[in-house]
Parts: sequence; structure tokens; C-alpha cells
Amino acid sequence: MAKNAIKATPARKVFVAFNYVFCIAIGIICLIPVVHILALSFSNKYEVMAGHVTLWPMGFTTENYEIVMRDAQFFRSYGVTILRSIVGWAVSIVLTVLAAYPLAQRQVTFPARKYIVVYFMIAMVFNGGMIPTYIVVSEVGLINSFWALILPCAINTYNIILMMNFIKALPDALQESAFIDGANHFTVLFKIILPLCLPSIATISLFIVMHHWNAWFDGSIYIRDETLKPLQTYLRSIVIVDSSVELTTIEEMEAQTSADAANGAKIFLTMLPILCVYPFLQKYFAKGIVRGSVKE
Amino acid sequence: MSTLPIDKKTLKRSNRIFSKRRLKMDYPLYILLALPMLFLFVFNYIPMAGVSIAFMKYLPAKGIFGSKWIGMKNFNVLFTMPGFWNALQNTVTISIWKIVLNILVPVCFTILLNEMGRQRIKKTVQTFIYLPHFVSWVLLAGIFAKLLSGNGLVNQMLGVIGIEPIIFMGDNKWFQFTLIITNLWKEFGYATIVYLAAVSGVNQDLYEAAAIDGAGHWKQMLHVTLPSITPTIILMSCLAVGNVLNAGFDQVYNMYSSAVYETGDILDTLVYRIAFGTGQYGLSGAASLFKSIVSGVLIMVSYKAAYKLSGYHVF
Repeated sequence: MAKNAIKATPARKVFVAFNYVFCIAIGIICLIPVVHILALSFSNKYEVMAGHVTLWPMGFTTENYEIVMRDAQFFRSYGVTILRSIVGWAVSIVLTVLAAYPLAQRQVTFPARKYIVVYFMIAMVFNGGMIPTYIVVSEVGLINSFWALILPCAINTYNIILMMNFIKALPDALQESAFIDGANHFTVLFKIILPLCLPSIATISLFIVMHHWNAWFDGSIYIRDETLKPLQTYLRSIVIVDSSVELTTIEEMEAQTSADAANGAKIFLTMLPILCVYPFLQKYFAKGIVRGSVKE
Repeated sequence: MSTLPIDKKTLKRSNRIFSKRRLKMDYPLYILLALPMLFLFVFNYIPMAGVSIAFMKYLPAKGIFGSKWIGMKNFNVLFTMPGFWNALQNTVTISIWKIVLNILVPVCFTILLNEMGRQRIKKTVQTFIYLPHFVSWVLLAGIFAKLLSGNGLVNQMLGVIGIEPIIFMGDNKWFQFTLIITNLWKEFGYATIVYLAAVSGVNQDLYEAAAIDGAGHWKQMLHVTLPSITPTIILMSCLAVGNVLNAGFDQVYNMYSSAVYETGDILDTLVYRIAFGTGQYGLSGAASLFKSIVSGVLIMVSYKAAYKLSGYHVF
């Protein structure tokens, strides 16, 4: 690189060395909570309670994972979350493509676009808020239904914009030559545009699946049935401890201690798929977020 | 097309939206749009009409059409509630700190990362700092409750340098600080992505030219790297304006407790507790409508500013 053309002064060398140490340290700080929870999950419950565990398991044991293995609710919720991620992904990706293609048309070829954009814009800027949305979801009859986890959040306008920008960036000639050959919009979308959109579909898929994997609020207000609770909702109910509950008997304290240690294992198992997947998808979301620019 | 001599009249006709010819060509687009627009209608537009509960004494049993209209009464109650002004103040304080730090820190870190020559190490650091963004606040709140507790890891480390244990999540003096710092920790890495993209787009010749003109590393950073990300900084600052009333429901709701309502309660959590805690749906709707309107205006201002200052189009 051109920068190396300059001879490194001693001050520069110190800076470079310090910079490496600093950046790596910051990187490690980002990992500490994950390592800590991993250490907790393999530690003896008394060591956990006493606060002895830092970044390495104390009194190594797999007991916590054995407790989790016996927790049927945890696996049911894990299943619900996997299912909602798959179904939610399918529904959202279809809706996103359907909306993005017409919106990517140029004003000249699709004059109505400017009014339709306003329709999407208003939905982006204003929202009814928590309670009216809840009322609608319940009026539609989705309370306590699996679809309450899918349909209300099926459209994310940012994802539509992201894909729209991707389609806009494709050469116009692709569409035009297809039209000259007598194709209509359906053929153009499904035969020409869609196959070229795979990179942006990958990016958006990641965002959608992440959303579903991490969603907890919809599960806590729309779902009453324990067997339908998604993973994060279930975890919230056990991890975010209600401190107002007084533990009186020794048995209760003992149970709480085991639960605390087992929670570490549950948290880690919930993070695991994300930890495994995201490093490989890094290039997709890095590109995607730059194109979309405003993804929250 | 543009070379053909078309008079204005013909152009106007061809641009008409609902001419027969147009519809014949465009109908597939309407069919494609139908489903997404229906979804938006049901889950965005109908709730927007549902904000009318803010003007009602809404009872779930009676529904929207059976509940009594009470005019501005909910707003009168809301605006005289001390909890509301407190929540509003907390919301603005927390979110402005978050916005400022979430621009400043990623920009600084981008510049530091850019000074790293070894790509392998740089990529690894990047992978590490993106991670927290993908972990939910539910899990992080559970982890931080342990890390930041009286005998947690952080207080143990502070103890080494002789600082008394701090109750980060249960003390009004520290709670906002805790929210802001943990949010920064979670999001700063992800926020570097846009700045890194801007930096990587810089023409390397510029550095060379600067070096020939006698600019050292510091001067190169100041006069080449920094200006290259200034447009992105301006854009991000503009867009952030729309978030002033979003202090982060997911984070606060999972991290706060009744001990820190004084400094930790934000508009969204207030809306939630009024509705699901006390069942005063109308009052909650009023708070929510207040937030939605102010936020909506702020978002429009932010888009306008982003367009004016950096030519950014939303659609």
C-alpha cells in the first residue's frame, strides 16, 4: 500500500503497536459475555452462586446441560422458534420480492409508482403503536395462534427498500430486451430478475431469520399457550428473574441455584446457532447493510 | 427513446396512470403488489386508525365500536402525570447519548481499524465486534444481570483497583449509564460497517498523492480518510434524528426493574405498563399516539435533511 512508502518513525511504530493491542482488546471485550456464559454453563452450581466463575469453568461439570436435556419446555420452545424462523422466512421473502420488483420500476415505465411509494412511506413513518396493533391481531383471531408470530411482522419496509435498490442497480437492458421479445412482468421477474437477486435474497434472509430467532415480545403478548411460546419468550420468563419473589426455604434456594446455573446452559444453547452461522454470512450482511444503509 | 421528437401532449397521455394501454401493461405489477399492500393495510393502516382509542375510554369487552368517546380526557390525564414527563425526559436523554456515541465511537474505531495493515487480524476483529448485534436483549440482559451484579465479573475487576461494588442495574445513579454503555457495546461494531465501506471505497492514489505532498500518516488520516467518511457521518446523523424517541424498548424492558423506574422508565415501557399493567388502554393509547406523531414528524425531518444534505432517497 502507498502508505508504507513513508519510512516509519519511532512514534509511528509505537502507535501501530498500541493500535493493534487496543483493537484486539476491544474485539475481545465484545466476546467476554459469550465466554463468560459458556464458562458458567460448564461450572458447578455452587461456584456459580458464589461468583467464582469468570472466563473459565470452575468445578467442571456437564450437570447443567443434563438439567437442560430434561427440560421439555426448552426443547418445545426451541422447536417453535425453528419453525417460526422457517415459515416466517418463507412468508417474508415472498412478500419482499413481490413488493420490491414493482417499486424498482422506473417512474416512466410505471407511472403509478409515485403513489404506491407514498403508501409504503406512510406505513414506514407512522405506526399505530403497541395497543392498536394488539387489538387488530386479536380481532383477526390470531391470539394464541402460531401465525401471530409470523403475519404481523411479515413485512419489513427496510428489507423491501434493500431489495428494491438491488434490482434498480441491475442493467435496464435486461428488462427492456425481454419486453421486446414479448415477455410480461411475471416472466421478467421470475425468469430474469429473481435469479440475479440471489445475493440480496441471502442478505435479507439473514435479517429475517435473525429477527425471528431473537423475537420475544410478540410471543409474550400474543401467545398464552406454553407449548407455543417461542424460545426467547420462554427464556425471558426464566432468566429475567423476578427479584420480588422471596426465597424462604433452603429447598427453594437450592432450586434457584440449580436453575441459575442451568440458565447459563440455556442461554448458550440459544446463542449457538447464531455463533455458528454469522461468521460465514458476514460478507452478505456487510454488503447488505451498506446498500440498505438504514437497517436498524 | 429520448431522441424521438415527442411533443408534450403525447408524453402526458403516455404518462397517464389508468389509460387502457397502461393498465394492460402494468396489471402484473398491481397483482404483485396486492399481497404486500394488503398486509400493510391490515397490520399498519388499521392500527393507525386504531389510535382512536386514545380518545376513548376503551374497554376490551366493548371493543372499538362499543367504547365511549371521551375527547381529550386521556391526554389531560397523561400530560398531568409526573411519570409521563419523567419518561419523556429519560427517553430523550438516553437516546441522544446513544445516538451521539453510536456515531462517534464507530467512526473512531473505523479509523483505527483502517490503520491496521494485517488484513487477517483486522477481519478477525471485525468478526468479533459484529457478534453482539446478533444476540437478543433477552439473553444479554440475562448475561449482564450476572456480569454487572454486586459480586459479578465487572465488580470483581473494579475491586482489584479498589473501587467499591457498583449496583449498575439497580441504582438510579448508574442505570442510564449502564443502558448507554451496554447498548454501545452491542451496536458500535455493527455500526462500523457503513464507515468501513466508505473508507474502502477511497481511491488509493489519494494516499499516494498526499504522501508525495509530504503528508504523514496523521495528515493522511485527517485529510484523506476522514473526509471520505464525512458524507456517511452526515447521512447517519440525519437519519438518527428519527430515533430520538426510541430509547430502545427491548433493552430497557429487559434490564430495568421497579427500583430504577425513576431514571430508566422510557415512553415505550410506560405505554406497555399502563396498558398491560393497569388496563388503561385509552391512556396508554394516548401516550403511544403522542410518541407516534412526534416520531413521525422527526422521521420526516430526518429524511428531508438526509435528502438535502446528502441526496439520500428513501425510495
